[in-house]
Amino acid sequence: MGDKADVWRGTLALMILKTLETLGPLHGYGIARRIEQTSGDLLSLNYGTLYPALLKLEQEGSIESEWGVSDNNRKAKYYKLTRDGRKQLEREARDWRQAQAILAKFLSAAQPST
Amino acid sequence: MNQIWKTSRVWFDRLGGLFHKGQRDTEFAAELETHLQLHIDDNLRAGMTPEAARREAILKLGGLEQTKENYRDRRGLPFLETTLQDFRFAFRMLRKSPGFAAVAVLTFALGIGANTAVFSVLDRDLLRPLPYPDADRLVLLGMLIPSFDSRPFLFTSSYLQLARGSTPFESIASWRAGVSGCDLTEERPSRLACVRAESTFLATFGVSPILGSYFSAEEDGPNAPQVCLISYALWKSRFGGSGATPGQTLSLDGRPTRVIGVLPKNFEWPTLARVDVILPEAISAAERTDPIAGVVRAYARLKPGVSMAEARAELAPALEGWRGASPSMFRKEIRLGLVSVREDQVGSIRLALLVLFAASLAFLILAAANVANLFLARGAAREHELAVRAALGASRSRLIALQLTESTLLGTFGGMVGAGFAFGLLRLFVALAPAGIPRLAQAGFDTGVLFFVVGASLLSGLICGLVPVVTSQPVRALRAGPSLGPRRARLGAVLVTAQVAVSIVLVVAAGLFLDTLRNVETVPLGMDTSNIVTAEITLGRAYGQFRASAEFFDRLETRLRDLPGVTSVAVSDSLPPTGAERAHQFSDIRVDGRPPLPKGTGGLLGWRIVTPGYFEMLGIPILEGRGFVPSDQDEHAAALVVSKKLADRLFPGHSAIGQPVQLSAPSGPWYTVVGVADDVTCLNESGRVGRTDPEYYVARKRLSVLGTAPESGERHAFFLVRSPMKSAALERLVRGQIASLDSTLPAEISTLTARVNLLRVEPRFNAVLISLFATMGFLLAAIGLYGVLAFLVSARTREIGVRMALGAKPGSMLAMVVWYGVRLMLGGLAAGAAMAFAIGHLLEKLLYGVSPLNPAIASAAALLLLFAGLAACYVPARRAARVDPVIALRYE
Repeated sequence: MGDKADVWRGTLALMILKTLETLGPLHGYGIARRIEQTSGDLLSLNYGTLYPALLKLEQEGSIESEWGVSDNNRKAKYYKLTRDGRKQLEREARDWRQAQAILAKFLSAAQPST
Repeated sequence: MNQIWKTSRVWFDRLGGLFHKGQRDTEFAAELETHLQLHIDDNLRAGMTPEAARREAILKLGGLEQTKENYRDRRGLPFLETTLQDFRFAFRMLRKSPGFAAVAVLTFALGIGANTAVFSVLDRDLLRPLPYPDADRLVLLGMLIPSFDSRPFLFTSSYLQLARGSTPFESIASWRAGVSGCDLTEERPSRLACVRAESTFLATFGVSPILGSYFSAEEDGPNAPQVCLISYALWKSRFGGSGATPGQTLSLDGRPTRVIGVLPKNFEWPTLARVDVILPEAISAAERTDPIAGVVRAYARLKPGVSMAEARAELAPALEGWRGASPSMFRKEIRLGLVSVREDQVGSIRLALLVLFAASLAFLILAAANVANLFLARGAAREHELAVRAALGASRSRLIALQLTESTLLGTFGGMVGAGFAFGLLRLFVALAPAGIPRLAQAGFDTGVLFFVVGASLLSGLICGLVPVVTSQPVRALRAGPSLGPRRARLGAVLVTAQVAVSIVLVVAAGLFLDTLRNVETVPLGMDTSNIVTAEITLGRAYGQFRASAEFFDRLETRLRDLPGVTSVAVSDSLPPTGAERAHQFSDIRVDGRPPLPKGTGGLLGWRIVTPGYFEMLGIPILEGRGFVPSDQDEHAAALVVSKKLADRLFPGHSAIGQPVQLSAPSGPWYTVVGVADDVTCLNESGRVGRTDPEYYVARKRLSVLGTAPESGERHAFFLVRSPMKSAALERLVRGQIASLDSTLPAEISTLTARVNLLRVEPRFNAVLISLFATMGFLLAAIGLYGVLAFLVSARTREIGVRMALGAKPGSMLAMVVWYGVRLMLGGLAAGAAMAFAIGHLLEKLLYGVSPLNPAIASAAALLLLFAGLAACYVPARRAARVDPVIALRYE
């Protein structure tokens, strides 16, 4: 299902979910920062695109949000994983790994013949 | 499944996003603000200057407003929001010009309301499925003898023969033509409507009882104990809707009858008559063998895939048999009658309904044209505003959407108000309607009608909204002020011309129907109906055949005669202008000294049993000899009064008085003609002059001689009471006298005038409704013309000012405007007259005594419209004549 844009957006959603699983409740800026850092700054993320993605995940019920206070005492909106989100993460991570494995096999098999 | 759930959840959430927008916007703004602050904090910690820190944070976010916009799109439903925004805007615009909005909404309401009311009737009768499965395969069949009955029927023996043989039908059933009254003779007696039907009847219609079962062929046998099925309504009222009803017993006309089933709530008798009880048909042995003993109506279900034409062809041989078995006087005119059940139910009224619907549609067109004209004028006034919007970057499609939203909104409001108007109009229909409009009482608002209202509202709104759109020329508008663009002027002219054309067709139609009504109402009846109250009474079977019922009628006659203020009383067995209820063949009559007439020739002969006061009461002139006197009521008296028509036929050229006549030759008694009464007119069920047969009268015998002569009273009689008192009071008195003799006896009491008028209901219905539409339509056309001219004058004020400054006289300006208006009208009149002539013949069947191509009516209609048009021109024309050149030139 979905087209190429969805794959990319889906990937971003997966990264968000994983981040929240690893770090627990986190605000938007924190999530953005974490994704950038984890990618070893290879991925340059336009932070603005994060918010529609967060909204979509929230609309789908994978995450929920609530206002809290940040480390440096600022009022921030914290996102956290729901039960549905955890399941979605598991499923999508598995799918992703599978796809990756298939692709990897395909690439390594294809190489000698060229 | 999961996916669907998720998607719907998202949509639901996004729909929710349409509300509390302000709060959500603030919340997101706060969230972004935190985001930026956190980012700036980090940047500052990394050693940037405050300005650089902020700039970098915003840059990294990808623009603040951009982000908000993306977020908003994700949150709500952008398309819906635009539309809602358009609606809010349109609503605001309309609130700003309440006059325009009110006129447009009202005009729409009139048009849509009229159509909705007519459609809700039409829908019930012509479109709605009948309450039987595969109803389009159900037919009524038989012989059609127009001079005898307008609907097909069969003699019982012919029917039985047909049902036994092979037919194009899957199933066939008959019932004894006519719903008859039968009495529930129990502690609470009442008159019920009973029919006698064959055992295959319900199965043919595909209906099963909700309780119990229908009767079998055995239960319809000659010696079976009597059983019946009862209607849902009777089940509720008599048995309280109890499930244990089948098996219980009713006393019908004093005879115990076992209820074996209950009909469904929505069951309709195929003639749409009220039916409380279905009894077995119980065909007698005589009816089986005698070719013309019994009469039935036969219904059948066509085999699947068999067309009407095929069935017709297959029935052709049977028709020959029926013809052979029929009395010779009818043979020539016998045709095969085969119509669908729906056709049978609505056949006669279909045309009237369609004409009515066409009239209401024409009216809607007039209304829509008026609103379109309004929009046109308003479009000119708003052009500047729209041009500015376009210049500011609104796309053309967005502007069109905006205007269409506005007009659709008006259409919708119009539809809502119109629905209320339709409701009122529907009540008017019910009050006016002829009994021939089936199911009118059920006509009302349901889904189908609702769809119609919504469709009509949206469509008329959209079409009217398109008018200013197609004529707008935004670029021009920015340069000049509000103006009458050439496209707009042309369209306005076309609209008015079309309006005049349509309304002249309506007015001509109204004229034709009014003339028809006048012709119907002025038919000379040959009798005087004023100051007479009639009471029609049918005694229950409990009165027995002769003695008890005659006694009752005699006592009632005496009592009525003794009432204070009553000048005379007469009794008869039938009442003009309805034809005689008794009839036999003309050839049955024999004049002394002449050979008998060939059997079955000469058509029908009607006869009536009357008391001596009858002729005087109805003002029927006795042309020769005398009317009846009390001694004619004696046992052996044999006086006969013949109608003029009969006298002329039997005794052409010489006097009928004193001639001996045998009424049912060769064995019947001999009578002597004592008088010749003038003919009375017979009207058919739509108030037109019907077939008037020759008639004769015999005197009603007195009680003392009862049982010996056929002229003794039977169960059915009309009492005629004349008195100078108010008819309502007299009706009450008569009712009281009947009730004092038998409190449960239903009697139909009304003035004779009202009785006659009942027959004229259909022409009155047509005339009143079509005139209503024509009057309203014609007013709308006049208003439309006024609107266009007023607009023209205001748009050309400057030009008129210039002309007058250059020396034109006010009078010539007035003439210019009036001439423009007249030109528009003349075009419309010509087109309309052509249209009226082209479609006039479609109305022919509904008219009486007037040709659809009536030049007098057409020219009267044209003159009427012309005068109204001139009046509509006058006000704007005078305004043109009063234009002050100085002010006009300073304008702008």
